[in-house]
Amino acid sequence: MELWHSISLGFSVVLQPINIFYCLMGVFVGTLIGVLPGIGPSATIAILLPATFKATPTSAIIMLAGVYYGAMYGGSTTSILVNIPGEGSSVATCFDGYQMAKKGRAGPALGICAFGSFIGGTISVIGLMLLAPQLARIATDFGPPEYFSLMILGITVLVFLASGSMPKAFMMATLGIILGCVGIDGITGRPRLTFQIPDLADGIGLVPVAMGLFGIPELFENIEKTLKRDVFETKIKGLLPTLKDWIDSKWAILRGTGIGFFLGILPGGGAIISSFVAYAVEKKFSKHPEKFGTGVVEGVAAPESANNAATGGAMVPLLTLGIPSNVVMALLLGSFMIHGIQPGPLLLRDHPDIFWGVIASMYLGNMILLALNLPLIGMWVQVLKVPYPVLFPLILLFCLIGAYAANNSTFDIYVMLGCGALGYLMRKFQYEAAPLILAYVLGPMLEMSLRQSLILSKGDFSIFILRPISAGCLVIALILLLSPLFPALKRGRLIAKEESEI
Amino acid sequence: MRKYDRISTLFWFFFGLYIVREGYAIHVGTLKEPGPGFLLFWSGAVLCGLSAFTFIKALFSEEKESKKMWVGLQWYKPLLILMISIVYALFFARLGFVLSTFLLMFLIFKFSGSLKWPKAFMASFLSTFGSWFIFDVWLRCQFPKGFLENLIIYALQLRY
Repeated sequence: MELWHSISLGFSVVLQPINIFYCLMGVFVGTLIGVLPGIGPSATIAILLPATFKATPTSAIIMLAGVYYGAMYGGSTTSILVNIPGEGSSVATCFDGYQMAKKGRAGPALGICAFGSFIGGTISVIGLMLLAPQLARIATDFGPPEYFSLMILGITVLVFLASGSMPKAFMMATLGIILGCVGIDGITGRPRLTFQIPDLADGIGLVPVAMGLFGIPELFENIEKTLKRDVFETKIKGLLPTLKDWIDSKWAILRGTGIGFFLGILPGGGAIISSFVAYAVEKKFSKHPEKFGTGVVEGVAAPESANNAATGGAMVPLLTLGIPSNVVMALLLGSFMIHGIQPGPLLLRDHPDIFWGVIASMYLGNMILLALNLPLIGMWVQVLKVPYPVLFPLILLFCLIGAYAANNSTFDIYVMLGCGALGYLMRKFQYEAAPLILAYVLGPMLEMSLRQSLILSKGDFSIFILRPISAGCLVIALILLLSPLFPALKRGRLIAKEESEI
Repeated sequence: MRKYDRISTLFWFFFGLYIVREGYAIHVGTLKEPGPGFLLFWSGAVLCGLSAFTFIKALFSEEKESKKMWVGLQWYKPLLILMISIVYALFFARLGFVLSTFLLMFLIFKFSGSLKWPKAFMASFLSTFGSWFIFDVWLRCQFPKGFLENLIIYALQLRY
């Protein structure tokens, strides 16, 4: 009964015309950037952050969340039609999606993607709705040691899952913590690494850092090489999957949804890992695994359901614990903080309208996406034909304007360009940006939790071990750090790395 | 990758040393009462340790030779875009949003996008006007007004 009352509150918030508008904007932009290779949801959310300053916190998060799961829908279009994944989470869709298109079945492939995404997204929102309040209640008992250990676990998982070298990923996480320390110390008021520049007194802004590390290097890497895009020219007809397609893919959709939701919850997990795991599991369960890669509908349905289900799962730790489980969630956390809202266990108590409004918006968003993706396929195909030399100046302009608009400061443009150059060099030298940005967002909270814990325990580190949840998180983090010494875990990491490089 | 790992980790090692020094200078404090430099100090130390480890690993790596990084790539294009963007930031406040954005877009469309003069001009005009409308008029971002906007405002004030 309480749940029904809560979801009614959520719908009463999201069905306000302004929030419907923001939801529509978010999913539309998300689908657009999902269709366009070369820019991902992280960069787009970073670019759109300044655009949300005038909006209410609810509207802002509704729009930005819409960009995230909208991109999951849109990414499949290029995977199927061009064999170039629009997003990392759509790589697995390329394996069978493009093969289906070559067999003249592009329409059913696109259709099963849209329906699978809708089912995966909707079921995951139901899971979020059921799980989040319970977790929020448990989390009210968390203290500084639990938060510190959870954040360490989150950063460690992202480092473990990094496709490159683990020590290098850890170095970037450390750099993120250092960057998070820039500014005036909140407790003592002492300036740290400000170099007497007044603009650095409040720290380095999230918006220019995120845009610089994700948006600018994408642009640079795309303009330094010639990206050839052969859009599938055959007319796309018959978007509805056949009855046989539904029968063949029903378990793929359900399994993909379950895998995506639970992997999305885990720190470091997310849409990319979920889609690969779902594909691998489906292949294992299949009666004809040798057909995977030749154009089977299950090979498309499973990863697409998983990547959308992961978006719902990823919202669980963000809304209930205030801990982002991946880079996009870290940026959403940043957006909450820019609007003066602290997500976590008290969000449900203090801002139930925001909590339930965001959840209800995901129901609405999934319905809008299903309506957008099927009839507008023709339009998305035309968007794919826009030449990149026309597109990238516009993206660059949005980055420059967005960096300025965050604080009306030209200094932020320089910060963004500096981070852009750094991000580009990081890619060349094979350093990951994801651990850096996650650690950068978590850094101030991590430091506060650490200092509070040590003050509470009078300098005794055993406080982190004696509390069960904190100890559990640290033990898992230690296992992951020592994983190169364990062959089984090392094999698992290598498989994840190989599949992400395909 | 071995050669590039040696170069990059050496850089991070010295950067880490600098952070350790800064953290110590600010005040590390004690375990009972960590100071503002506590996390900086230890983060710097971890960065030094990890970069030293990676440097040594790269030193003894079995990799025969490192693949050259920018082979077959038009590396000058990102550099050109970066330079143009820095100049844009330098003149943004002086020239104002409209003029500086128009010049930025024109340079990029013409020299990096390789559009012909009329198309580059049109594309620059449309993108400048479009971004002005979205960000200045709709989202009410406060962009600097350069001498061109001030001239137009002054002329309008004289007229009316």
